[in-house]
Amino acid sequence: MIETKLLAVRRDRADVLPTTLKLEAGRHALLGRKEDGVLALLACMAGDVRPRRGSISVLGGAPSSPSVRARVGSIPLGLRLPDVLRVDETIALARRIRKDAPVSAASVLEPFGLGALATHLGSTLDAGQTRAVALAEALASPSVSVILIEEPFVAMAPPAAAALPAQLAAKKKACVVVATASAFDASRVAEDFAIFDRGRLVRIVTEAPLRAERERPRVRVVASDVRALAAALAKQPATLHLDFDARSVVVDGDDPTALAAAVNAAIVESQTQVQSIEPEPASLEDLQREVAAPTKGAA
Amino acid sequence: MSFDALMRLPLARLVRTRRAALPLLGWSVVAFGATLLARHAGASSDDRSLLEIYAPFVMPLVCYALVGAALGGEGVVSASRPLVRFGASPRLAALAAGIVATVAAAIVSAALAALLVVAAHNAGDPPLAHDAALSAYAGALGGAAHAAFFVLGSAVGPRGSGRAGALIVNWLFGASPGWISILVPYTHFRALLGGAPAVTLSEPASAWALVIITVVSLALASARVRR
Repeated sequence: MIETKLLAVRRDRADVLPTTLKLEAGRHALLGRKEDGVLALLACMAGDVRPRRGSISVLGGAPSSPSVRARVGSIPLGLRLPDVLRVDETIALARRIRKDAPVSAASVLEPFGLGALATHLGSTLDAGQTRAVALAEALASPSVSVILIEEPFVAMAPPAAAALPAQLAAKKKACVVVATASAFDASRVAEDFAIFDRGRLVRIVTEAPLRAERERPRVRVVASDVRALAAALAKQPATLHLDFDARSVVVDGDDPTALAAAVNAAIVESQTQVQSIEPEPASLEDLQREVAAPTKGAA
Repeated sequence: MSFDALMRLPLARLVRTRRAALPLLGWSVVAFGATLLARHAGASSDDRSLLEIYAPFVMPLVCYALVGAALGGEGVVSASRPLVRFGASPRLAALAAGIVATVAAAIVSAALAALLVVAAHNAGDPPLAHDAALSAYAGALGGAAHAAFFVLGSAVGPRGSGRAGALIVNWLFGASPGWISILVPYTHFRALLGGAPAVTLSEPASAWALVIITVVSLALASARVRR
């Protein structure tokens, strides 16, 4: 579905060195930071950036051609929908342009918990809602067989983010490509991971090694009161290292059993509501270091 | 995909935002205010109202606002991008936006010209109905050409900043006596209203020149959009 041959791309001072890659139906992650070139590569797949060298084919054609774009759902950060149209009008217009049969906006939006947005103007949506609506439209379109998502869990409406892994998995015949700097986010939606480092595709791995290539047990706890949980975890002797962001805490330990007990005790102490506890994949830095060996699947 | 689907977004931008309505209202107040004041002072004539207020200022600025509104205040490329990402041809989407702006400008300009003639009419002027019809015809051609010229400007520069350049070029070239003035719509529109003829062109030739400027400007604006 997507094939690059010695493709070199440059965007926003981020280079992708000549890369040969073939992505068929399935869920793929381009894992790396902006400076590693994954966003430039994704933008090239969406037809927004021209290759500097080499070639790229999406669904057998040039990615910027209208006939290809009609079959591609591109969800970049900073996406804009028609500002003066209501969401239901935008969906109807998109389906007309894509030559899909008309359907009710509710049937498109409800699977993502966005039904209430149907009558909202595009200009009144926030960035997360805008991306969620565009994603819902693309996934509901029978024409769309390639879906390109930049940072799938960043600036995404919470109900859509929660539904995203299952909805992407349900689109079995599509080629889904996500570009992200988060191994955790990638592991939630992708089946294989193309790891980039400073513009170079260093290796393509599957989920198993992504999770296995770890020296110490590490878990991510998504909780309602992250600060309280982090404070409680910091008191636990089994905690070797912890880090947290707005929605989750990542904690390292030496022993899996001791770490599990420490997490349990910290949750009880902090009295926080826990949404999920999952083994944390290797960090991007770990992966780039670990896979600096010869490349599989890259030319 | 049908072409009318591509017109939906620029049309909605025109009618659902105040980007066009407020300048239209403001410039109409200026034009009618000046005309009625002149009439009250016994110094009005429809020619003077059209040639001194409407043609150089009101109509170009109203068309400028209409084009800006139809394009959402952006350039032609950015304005059509929300449709292009669904698979619309970039050139057709740009052309659709240009046509919506051009048709809207033609209708508004024709109506304004006719109403100004009614407001300014006095006993020394030609018969009102005939004069209003001719002014509406000239306003429609001039409005369309001005809007298309500004659409072409919107296809140049970041965020359509070339639109302001086109407005200035229209004034500067239109006021110059040389052959270069035939390139801009103001020259021909003024000639249609009975002002100084554009170089050696006749009034029918100026009418055709406005049509040609409209078509060529829209075609060039559309051709500039590549992705």
